[in-house]
Amino acid sequence: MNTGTFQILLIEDNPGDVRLVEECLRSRGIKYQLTRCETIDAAIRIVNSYGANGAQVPDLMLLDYNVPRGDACAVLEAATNNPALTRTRKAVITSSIAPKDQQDALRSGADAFIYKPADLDTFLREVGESIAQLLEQPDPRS
Amino acid sequence: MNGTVSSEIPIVASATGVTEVGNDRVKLLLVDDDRDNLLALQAVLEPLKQELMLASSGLDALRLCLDHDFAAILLDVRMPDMDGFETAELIRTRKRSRHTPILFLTGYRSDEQLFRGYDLGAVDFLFKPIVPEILQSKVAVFVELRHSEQLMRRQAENVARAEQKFRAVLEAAPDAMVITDQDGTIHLANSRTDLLFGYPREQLIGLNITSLIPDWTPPDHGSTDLPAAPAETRLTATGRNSTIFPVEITRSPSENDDGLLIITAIRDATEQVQSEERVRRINLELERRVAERTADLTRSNEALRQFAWAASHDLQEPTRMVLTYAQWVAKTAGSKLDEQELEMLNCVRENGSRLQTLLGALRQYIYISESGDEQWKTVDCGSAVHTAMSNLEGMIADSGATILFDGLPSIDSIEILIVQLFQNLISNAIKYRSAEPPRVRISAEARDDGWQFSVEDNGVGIEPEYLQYIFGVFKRLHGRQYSGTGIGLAICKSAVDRLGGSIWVESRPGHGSIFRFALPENGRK
Repeated sequence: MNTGTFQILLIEDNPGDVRLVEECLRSRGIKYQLTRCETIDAAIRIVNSYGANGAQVPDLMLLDYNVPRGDACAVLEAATNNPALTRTRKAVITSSIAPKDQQDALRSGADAFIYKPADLDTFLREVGESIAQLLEQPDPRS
Repeated sequence: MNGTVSSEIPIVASATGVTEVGNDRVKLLLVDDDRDNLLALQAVLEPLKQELMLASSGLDALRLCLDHDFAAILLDVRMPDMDGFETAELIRTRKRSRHTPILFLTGYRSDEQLFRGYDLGAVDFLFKPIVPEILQSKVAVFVELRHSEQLMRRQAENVARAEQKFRAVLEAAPDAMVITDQDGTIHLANSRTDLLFGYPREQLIGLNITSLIPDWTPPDHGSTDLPAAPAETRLTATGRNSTIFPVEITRSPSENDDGLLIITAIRDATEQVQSEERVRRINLELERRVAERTADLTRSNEALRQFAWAASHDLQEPTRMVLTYAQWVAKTAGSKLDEQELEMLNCVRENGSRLQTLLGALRQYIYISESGDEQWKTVDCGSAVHTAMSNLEGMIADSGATILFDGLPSIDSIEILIVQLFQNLISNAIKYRSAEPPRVRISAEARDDGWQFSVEDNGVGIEPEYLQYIFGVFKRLHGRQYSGTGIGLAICKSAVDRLGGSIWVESRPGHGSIFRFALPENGRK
């Protein structure tokens, strides 16, 4: 279990949601360092660079399913195929309730599918809980 | 007697009695200068019941031979002026009487006379005194002979007439008519054939019909006694100058003495083929236009669908942001705001909330029209109502509504749509309730082709003039005191359409409404 600062890669184009995710972490006292990108292309570039450029590998990748310009599943697949990211937890965060989106994400290697509620308190509670679980969940191989 | 016909001698003896049916009376010429002899001959031959003509001289006889055909001539050899032999000789020179049998009557036998007589074409000699029975039977032979001849001539005439008639029919036919044997060799053709193929008639006869219609075959044998209309066959014909044109032919076999003949009627089908081609082209053009129009409609439908989908989804995110951040401001800054500012913030939140509900309903509406065929299964309508009720738990509890249902069937359908139907109808009944606590009664009746469901409420009812609008999207009939999205009944309509059924409402203001929907047995297509 990591008690230090968590590296978080957040792929999200909406600043409102970035602030909400940060509030979830802050309100739970989780120390974090956030890497943020706003498009699929940028996300894939970053994901592919891990392991090669010595940058710190993220503990958690949070991917907004509806990030513009591209298919979110491609980011998940790139992350799954990068051996440097074996220990990285991968979660899709979305306001979509379409079962197909969820199936596609899980098939592409997502560990969790987090729904964004419209109510502030519900958002902070539910999304916060999911993130905490993902971060504190021990790696099965360690 | 002297060669003139005396008035006292009847030239034509009227023979009385009945003639044999089918045989005309034949004429017999009796020639003798002795009037008594003539009368005697007449008496002897009367029983033969033929037409007897009497001549008292060779000259009279010759004269009669000009006008009549005789079955036989009885000719007295010894007559003054012109004896029998002379008369016979002259009779023989005339074309009409060249072959008429002549019987000579003579008083004495002489070889010389016999030779001369036979030389002149006599068929027999009768010696006087005449024995009536012999005369009668000899003449009867010639009568019989003439009768047979007449019969044969009539038959030949009939055959000729029939053939003439047949040719006339052939010529009158509107089509080219060709008569061939089974091998296709042409025996007969009408003038239409000449016109159609461009060959003179004499060249057609003996030609094989396959030089006109290469794919011609004789019809299937065995149906010669069936006069039923033979089938038409479309083939290609070749004209004299190698022109090629479509024809329609019918073939009918005809059995006759010469064997099996085949009558082929040939009709130029050029115009018909052209008009068929025109019709085909018009149809193709129509189909193309329909396909084009359908593609246009499909495109614009798809564009609309994508727009609705995108709108409901893309509007959802900013709506969520508005709601969440209005809450966040209220939470962090609420204590610093005055009453009016708080009211304004509340207005943002309420409208955001409402927008969110609308978007949710719109998504549902789109989802229904897109639900796939793989979702068909047996649906227990009773448990569908239960599901709908548990989705509306809060609403039912708050309003104190009673939902009654009984005897709902299991049907082949899409469960989520049935749940949506009941859910929206129940929620509609509760939303538009009157002062009394809402009471909803759900029932179903079996119909010939499926089930008819009724959802009856005791709500405010609907004004008749609004009945036609209520199933449209965003058609809300009421003001803000009712919380509808205006999509609920549109969802019901969409679901019923998707299931191949129909929905309608019966209502009177102040007396509640009965929503009915009919679902066919086999809505699955």
